[in-house]
Amino acid sequence: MMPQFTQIDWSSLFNMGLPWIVIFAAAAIAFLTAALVEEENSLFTPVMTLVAIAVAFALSWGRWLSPLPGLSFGMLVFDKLSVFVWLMILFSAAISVLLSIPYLAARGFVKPEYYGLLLLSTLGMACLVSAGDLLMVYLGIETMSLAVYVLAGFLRYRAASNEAALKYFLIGAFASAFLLMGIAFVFGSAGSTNLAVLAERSTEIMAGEGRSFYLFGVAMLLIGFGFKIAAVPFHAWAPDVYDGAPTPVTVFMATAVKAAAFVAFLRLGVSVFSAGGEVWITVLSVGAVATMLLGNLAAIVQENIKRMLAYSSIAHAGYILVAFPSIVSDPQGAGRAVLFYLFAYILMTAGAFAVVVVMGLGKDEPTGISRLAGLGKRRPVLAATLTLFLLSLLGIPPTVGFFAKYYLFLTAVKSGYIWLVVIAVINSAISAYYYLRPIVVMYFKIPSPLVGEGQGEGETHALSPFIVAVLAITALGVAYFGIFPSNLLAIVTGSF
Amino acid sequence: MNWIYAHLLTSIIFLPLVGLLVTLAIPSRYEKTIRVVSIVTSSFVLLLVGKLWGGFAGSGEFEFVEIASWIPSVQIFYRVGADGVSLLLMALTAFLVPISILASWREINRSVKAFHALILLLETGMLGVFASLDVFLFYVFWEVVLIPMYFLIGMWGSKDRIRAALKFFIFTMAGSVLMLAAILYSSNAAGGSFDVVAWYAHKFGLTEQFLLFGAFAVAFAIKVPMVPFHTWLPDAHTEAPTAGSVILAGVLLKMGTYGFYRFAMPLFPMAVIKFAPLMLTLSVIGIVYGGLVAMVQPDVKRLVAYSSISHLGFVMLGLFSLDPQAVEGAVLQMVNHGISTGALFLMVGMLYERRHTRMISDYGGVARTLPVLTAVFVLITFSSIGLPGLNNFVGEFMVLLGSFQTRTIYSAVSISGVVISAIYMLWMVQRVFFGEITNEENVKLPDLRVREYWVLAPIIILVFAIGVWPRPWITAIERSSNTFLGLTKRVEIFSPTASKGAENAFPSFVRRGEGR
Repeated sequence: MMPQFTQIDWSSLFNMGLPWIVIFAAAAIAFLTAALVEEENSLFTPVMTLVAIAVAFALSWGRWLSPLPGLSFGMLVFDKLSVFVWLMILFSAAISVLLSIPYLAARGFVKPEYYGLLLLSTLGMACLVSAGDLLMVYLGIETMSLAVYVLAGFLRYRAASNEAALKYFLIGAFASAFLLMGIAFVFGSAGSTNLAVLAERSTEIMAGEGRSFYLFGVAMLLIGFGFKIAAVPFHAWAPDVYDGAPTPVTVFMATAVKAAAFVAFLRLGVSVFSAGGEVWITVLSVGAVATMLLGNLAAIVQENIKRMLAYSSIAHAGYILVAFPSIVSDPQGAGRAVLFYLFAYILMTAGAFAVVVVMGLGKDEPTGISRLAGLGKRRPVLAATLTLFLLSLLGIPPTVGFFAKYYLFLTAVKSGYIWLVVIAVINSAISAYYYLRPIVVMYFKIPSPLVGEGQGEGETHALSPFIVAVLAITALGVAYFGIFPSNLLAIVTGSF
Repeated sequence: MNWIYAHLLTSIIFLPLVGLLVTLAIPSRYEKTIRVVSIVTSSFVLLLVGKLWGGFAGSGEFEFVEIASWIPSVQIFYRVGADGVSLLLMALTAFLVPISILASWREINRSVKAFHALILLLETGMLGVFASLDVFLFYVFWEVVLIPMYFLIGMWGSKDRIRAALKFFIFTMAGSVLMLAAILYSSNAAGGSFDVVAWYAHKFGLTEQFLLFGAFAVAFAIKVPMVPFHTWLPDAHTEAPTAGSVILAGVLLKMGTYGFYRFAMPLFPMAVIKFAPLMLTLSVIGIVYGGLVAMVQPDVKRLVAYSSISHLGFVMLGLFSLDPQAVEGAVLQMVNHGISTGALFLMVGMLYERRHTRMISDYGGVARTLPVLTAVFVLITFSSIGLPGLNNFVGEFMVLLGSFQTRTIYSAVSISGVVISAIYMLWMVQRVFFGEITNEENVKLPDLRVREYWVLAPIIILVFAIGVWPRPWITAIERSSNTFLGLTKRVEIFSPTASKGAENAFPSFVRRGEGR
């Protein structure tokens, strides 16, 4: 059953990997620019990065459209799923780049290597979502994370940024250790780390004497992933890191990193959860409930919008986990629901954080919710878009957030987890409390003159065209796919 | 034009959205243009609803049905249609919206553009709720209504508006998420379809019925509101601007009773049998309790708000007594309450514009300075307490007469509600309008302006029209309420063997729906 390394068709591997090569080349150029050219405030690197992402996106999109069947190289699997998720990742990487340009410029901290790191991390995600083997999962996670550790601490003059990087690095290393240990145990009991092999043999292994080692190994893997997707009780790093990191990097972590980790988790789940389902159903359900509850309850008391969105992102991870127990009985439905949700989540989270970037374009980073006071008057369009994103996160129709939630919960109901759905919808109602707060502050409170004076400096300038682009794309996406989800649904259905 | 006539319901539902887009395109400094555009748009909606009524056959089935593919892969369709009750409630909505906009001409003077955009969005949502035959579509419209009303209360409300708006939102949201879970479950049980007619034909199991009815009923009972879910109502009604209060009391509360009529009761007939005593008890408690609490309110607006709880209790009593007359009375009462209470809120708003207070004790003897306003107020008060010859009398009488046949005790206790309503309304009128002028500020107040005549005239006409000649209104709903009763009173689920004979008890369109 070992994969045949000798029979690799190099030309088709090259074809498949072409988008990756483009991204890698762009990353290399970015690092070379950093080393060779003294460039300050130049748009060369970010534009080059965007072009590379666009080329990779076009190549991959063509690949998704082509009727050819997916290809497996043992370690790497190029199927529609991996291509689709890779497209989502490229999309959120592009958004992060667009947001980074004005963000870094406002701080006078423009460095080409920033974009190089971003691209390298994207490359790690590519490995992660295409991984057909646990070792490739590990490799992908490490490549992805190492670059993000550096990015989180990129504003090296800021203590909070340093703290975020250190925390993220230590916790990440810890999670990697769990992953490695899990892989070792799985290999010991199953004799392979290939996901396809594991899927075939897991029933047999679960019946044999390696059962307890195998269970322990998969449990360790779950813990490793639990850290990466910030599921309770492995979530504690997320608020501090999201808060401390530069906001465009936070966007990247909250969208691309999370999506990549979730999809790898999904692949692992589809391979191993069907055997010994009961155990995993219990673990995942408890995890989902705890993650939703803690995320939502903790978000209520936050005064800082970045932290609030961090906890909200934990809560959303909990919602996604609601679909995971269904993997056992309905892997296809669960996979589709998770993919749709991830896409919706990327749109609305990126949009909401884009507004936070606007708030923080001055010298300091005023991210207190109270700083939004009177935004509805001063910046009606910006306030309206933030309202749209918040309502979408809350799951009010007709936004994409509602349909995504609906589709997710439908899958769980179909598989009979009605109680899990009831808890999830009650959580949605709880989340109304904190998603409405920025709206109250923006529109309902008449700002007192004292508070009104010290608004973020960024607000006095015209919006940067890059941010306008991000807001327009995400807002249109949230509204369009909310009212007409059919097309997106068809793409998702074709991918899983 | 032909397209509009062929897609009458769709045109009605989405015309306000067109108006909204036009409004958004007008620069916000042209406030008058914005007001005119919204009035014209909502008046056109009213015209189209008149056209709809003209073509309505009153067959008891859904008419003007339009079906379009929306999200076919999950069996979600754009499916609208109207029976008599939908028609009446859509007419009520289309009637109250232009009046509310006209009434806000002076009251709303900041963020005028946003206000009118939200009102038009609200109108689309409300009309959609009453016309949806697809439960998913219904839920979407149901939630769409929530947002603009939240903003109306929060942005243009009075002092305690933020708390009131939040309370309104959280209460409604808590109810509707439970309904969402129930909808997910029901659609899965009914084979993935969201067609309400297919759901009618599906036989839910007994335990399923109890739980699903519970989830739907909580969502709707919060909206009605029934005791003990009523606590959001006094705050929201009191703090909202006049237009908000009028629409809230006039239409939004009816979304709750309509939900019972359309979904909770006909879908789960066994649960209705089981829970009817509870629901009737809560209705009667609402009637008496709402009236008693209204009596002691020092604030006119709060008094009217509490009176709504009492009036809506009659509607719920009528629906759950499952008597043809009572059901017709209940539906008619939904409309009557919208008209009378809407008018009361409008006039409280007019008083507030003049004196900037809502406290009863600040008034007294206003009849001398405002003779016309007083006359209209007294008329509407008579309408509200059910004086024969005016609109409320017909509905209330039918509800009491019908429920007396099937639910004698509940009906008997409810009659006290009629007396209580006379006490609190007349006492309030006496303290506000009659007696000596005790407060200097009440001496010089301008009486009704021309615009205010226009606001009140259509309402007065309707108050008399329904009171004197209720026939056309009742004809419109007669067959529909029979269909409702046919569905709600079926008991064939008890014994599977008997179900074959009971098939014939289904209204024809439900049997046809099974074949789809």
